Amino acid sequence: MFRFIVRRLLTFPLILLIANFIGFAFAFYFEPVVASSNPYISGEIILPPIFPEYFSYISKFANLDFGSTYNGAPVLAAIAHLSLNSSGLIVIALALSIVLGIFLGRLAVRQDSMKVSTWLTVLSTLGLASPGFYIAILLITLFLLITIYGPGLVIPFQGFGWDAHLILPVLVLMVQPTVKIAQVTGSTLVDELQKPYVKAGISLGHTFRSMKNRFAFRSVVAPILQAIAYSARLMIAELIIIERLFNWPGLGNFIGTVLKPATGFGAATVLTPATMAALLTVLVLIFLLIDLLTILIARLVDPRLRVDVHAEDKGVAQ
Amino acid sequence: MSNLRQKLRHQNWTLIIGAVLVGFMILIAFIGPSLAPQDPMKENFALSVNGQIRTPPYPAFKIPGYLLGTDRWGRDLLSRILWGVRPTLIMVTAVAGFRLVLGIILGLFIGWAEGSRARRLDSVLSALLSIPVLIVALLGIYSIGVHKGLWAFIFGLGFTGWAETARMVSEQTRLVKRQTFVEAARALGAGERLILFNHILRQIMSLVWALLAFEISSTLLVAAELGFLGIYIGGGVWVEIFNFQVANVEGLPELGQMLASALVRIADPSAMLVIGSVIFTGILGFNLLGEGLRIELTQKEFGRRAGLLPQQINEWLDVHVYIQLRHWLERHGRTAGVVTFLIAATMGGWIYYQRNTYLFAKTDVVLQSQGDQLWSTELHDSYGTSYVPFSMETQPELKWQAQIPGGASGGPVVYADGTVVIAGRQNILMAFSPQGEIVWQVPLDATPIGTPALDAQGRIYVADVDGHVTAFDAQGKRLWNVEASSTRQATSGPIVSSSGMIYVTLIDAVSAISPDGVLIWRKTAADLFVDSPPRLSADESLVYLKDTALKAETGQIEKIQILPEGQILFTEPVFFTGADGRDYYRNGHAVMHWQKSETGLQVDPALTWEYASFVVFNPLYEGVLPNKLTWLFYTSEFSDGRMVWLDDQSRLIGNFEFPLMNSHIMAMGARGEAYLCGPTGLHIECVAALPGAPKALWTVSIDDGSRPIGGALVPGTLYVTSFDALSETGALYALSTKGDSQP
Repeated sequence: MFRFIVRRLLTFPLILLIANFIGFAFAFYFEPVVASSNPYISGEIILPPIFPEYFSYISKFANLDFGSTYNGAPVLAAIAHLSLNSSGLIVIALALSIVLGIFLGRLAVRQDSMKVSTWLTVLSTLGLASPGFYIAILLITLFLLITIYGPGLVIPFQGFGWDAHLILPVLVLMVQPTVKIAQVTGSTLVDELQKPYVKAGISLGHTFRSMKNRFAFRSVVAPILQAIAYSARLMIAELIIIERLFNWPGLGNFIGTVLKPATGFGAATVLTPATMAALLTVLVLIFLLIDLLTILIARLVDPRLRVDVHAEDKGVAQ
Repeated sequence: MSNLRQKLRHQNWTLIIGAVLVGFMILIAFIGPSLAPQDPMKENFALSVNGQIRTPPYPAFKIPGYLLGTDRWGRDLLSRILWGVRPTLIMVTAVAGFRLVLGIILGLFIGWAEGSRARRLDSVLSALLSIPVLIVALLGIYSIGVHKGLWAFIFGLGFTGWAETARMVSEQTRLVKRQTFVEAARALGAGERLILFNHILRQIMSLVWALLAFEISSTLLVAAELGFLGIYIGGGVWVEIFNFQVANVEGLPELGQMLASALVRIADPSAMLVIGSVIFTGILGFNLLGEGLRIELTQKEFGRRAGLLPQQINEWLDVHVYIQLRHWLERHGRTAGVVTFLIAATMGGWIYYQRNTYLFAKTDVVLQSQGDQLWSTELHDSYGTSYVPFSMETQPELKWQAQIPGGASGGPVVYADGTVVIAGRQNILMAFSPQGEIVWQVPLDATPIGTPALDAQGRIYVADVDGHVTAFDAQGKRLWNVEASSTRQATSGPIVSSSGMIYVTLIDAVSAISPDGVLIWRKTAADLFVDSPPRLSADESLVYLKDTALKAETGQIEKIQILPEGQILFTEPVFFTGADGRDYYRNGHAVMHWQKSETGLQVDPALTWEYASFVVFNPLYEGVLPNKLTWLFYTSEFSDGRMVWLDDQSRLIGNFEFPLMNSHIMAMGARGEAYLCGPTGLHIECVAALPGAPKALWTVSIDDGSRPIGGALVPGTLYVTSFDALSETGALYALSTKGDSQP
């Protein structure tokens, strides 16, 4: 286990450096290209060679200088601040989705039919087909109507704050992950409950509920964790849109801003190589951490997974 | 009863609902545009509702004619949605098809691989699956460049989008390759490629429709999300609102792009809600359809060729169609190739013809200038067509130039023998030979205005600031002088009809003068200052001054209502005559042909282009060429010039940007080319711009720091006149092609 974590962690710097370079190169090469497609920006854009630029950029890392954003603010401070705002949303939404999703998934499995209940199937089909932005629009419209025709501003639907401001963005972010987790929980539980040991357990006097919630559930944690990891990644991608709609000052909103196409004279200068490099590095780091955490938790929970992958390759279980 | 309930329960409702929703979307894609109540591109910057003037975005359900309201340019939302479904569906289907092909091919190989290679490929696949498509699509589309259009989207959305398909295909491949029939094929000596593509692929093909539906659904989702971020196909159109102020606005409707523009104010989400619902319907429909198909197909017995068609039909098709076709192709491959090529070439030719009909249209000149003079008035002829039936193909050079005392008052006029006549602001009328020698010069009573006019007999008419018109013969002998108005000055040069009647604009009025110098009528015809000459209708029964039509005989106003009053606010409508001899009306950026028939007024559908947000500036000149190509020329004191050509299907044939303010159109040539001149402050630059060509045919620079004020194109020579208000000087330039001289 320890060896596995160390090995994984050792690969991180290399992957992050590659991501950093790709982000840097992307902004370095393509921002002028995007600018040149603006018919009203004249003159040829001459680029200096990239590698000296990149080395001068990373050589400042030692002084904790990660470059600056388009408005001159240090990238590190800006991104740290924005990441905090975004991770608040993600953590709350993910935690609620996990609890609610697992609850719904368990609820949908009944002894009599041994199938996932129809209501969950319908719910998950609808939920997975509803884009986050659409749910957000619906909610905004609803609360707008309540504000105009009802008692007034019940829940704020724009802006930032660690209070009621959280409710709508969290709700929107929760929808797809919740139904996804519920769906995976339900279907894997149904499969698991058909295994002989469940029958044996019931015949030994365990109730169906205890078999479902204690034994069978433990063995389906791995696929549920996969679903959770998938949901977390989905949420990060959704953030770009959701934060924009709810005007939440986070990473997603920032990505949307810096990548927004130039819509006017000289507007193409928002994207700096340092910003893009930092953004991509942070994103990749988040994905790597999610991946690592999923594997670790799955191993902690499911005893069958405590096998060294590399040992398994050689056919030797630890 | 219970039987029915049982039956209903066992129906594949997912498939049915999905099919209905998708069918609805496809139906809209097919017939939507014909159902649209309005032109999806028509802007409306002001509407008069119950006597109140309102500005866009107009709300839903409140304005008659705009059921779902409008976007911020005042374009009808319902019509835009009905039009927008088609391009969106085509785009997502193209992208989804690309992803599907890539996913199937890669999935087959990944599924076919064995051992450690399979594991490595699998981990690469799961790594790709874990990257959010939206972020990769953003980066991918940017690295290609949004302006590259559909290809940027296929690349950006196809970069990781195929991974899900590849995973499903590789799983299926793994299942199928363990079947006994694969082993049998191998035992019979079939190679890997044959097994993979002939046996395994055929098994998997039954999944294709389900996969395609899923792919379309997910592509639609990403396209919508990208639209939210302001990224959509083609990246919109760049327009100039003011000099050096440009905006990127949405052009022809497409759902993703409409979503981008819907987010104007969070306090009015109705547009966003409507467009979002349409997209949601599409995503849900395709998702349900895919899910339903998957259920339908997996319920069938595995190992059989599961397909949407019943087994018997599949077998019949196999025996009677596929196998026969394969045998035939094996024997007649070459013939089939040639036939396919011929069909493709014919279709390609047909499509080219359809898109470029104007190149093949007849170009008979219907309207001539009076007496076959080469250039008889400001806009070539009294109809104001600016059209000449020849071209100047090669770059001309300055052959001669002459200073005009006080600067030119307008452009020159040119006799059929090539003699050029021009009025100078220091009260002088001059005639030059084609070689540039002064033939004669005579004094004028007052400062001349605009371009003189020539009639069929060669008489010259000059209007002046005192509101008089003076006539001269071809030798410069003064014939008569008449007061067209005692209170108003002339604001344009005169025009002459084929019967010899002379018409001239006097601020807001038109005067008609007989050939022997008698004022016949004078009529106030405009609310504003007009500085362009009147135009004659094709049959010369009407005289147009902007959007007023006067009877040529009596000067009475002829009421011709082309559009309802409410639609002509700030659009500076004008009547004009095309070089094809028909009557037209321009309203804003839209041009429509009209004619009087026994049943009343007949107006054809308007032609227009993606002009979005030329709020302030309407075209300054407009015309229709003999081959039915409509042209609009935009220029002003504050903005660059732009020449736009439209064909008779309202397709944008050319959009030429002439980056000089205060530019001037000299003439329109036989190939539809525009001759434009504009001042840079140091030079006068002239270009010939062909419709559809990205670059000018030629460019020539004249060493003159003032601005062009008029011109004339005759065979072999382009005349340009200039005027500098500060120094009160100006010149006449003759630009000739090499070795060419006047006829």
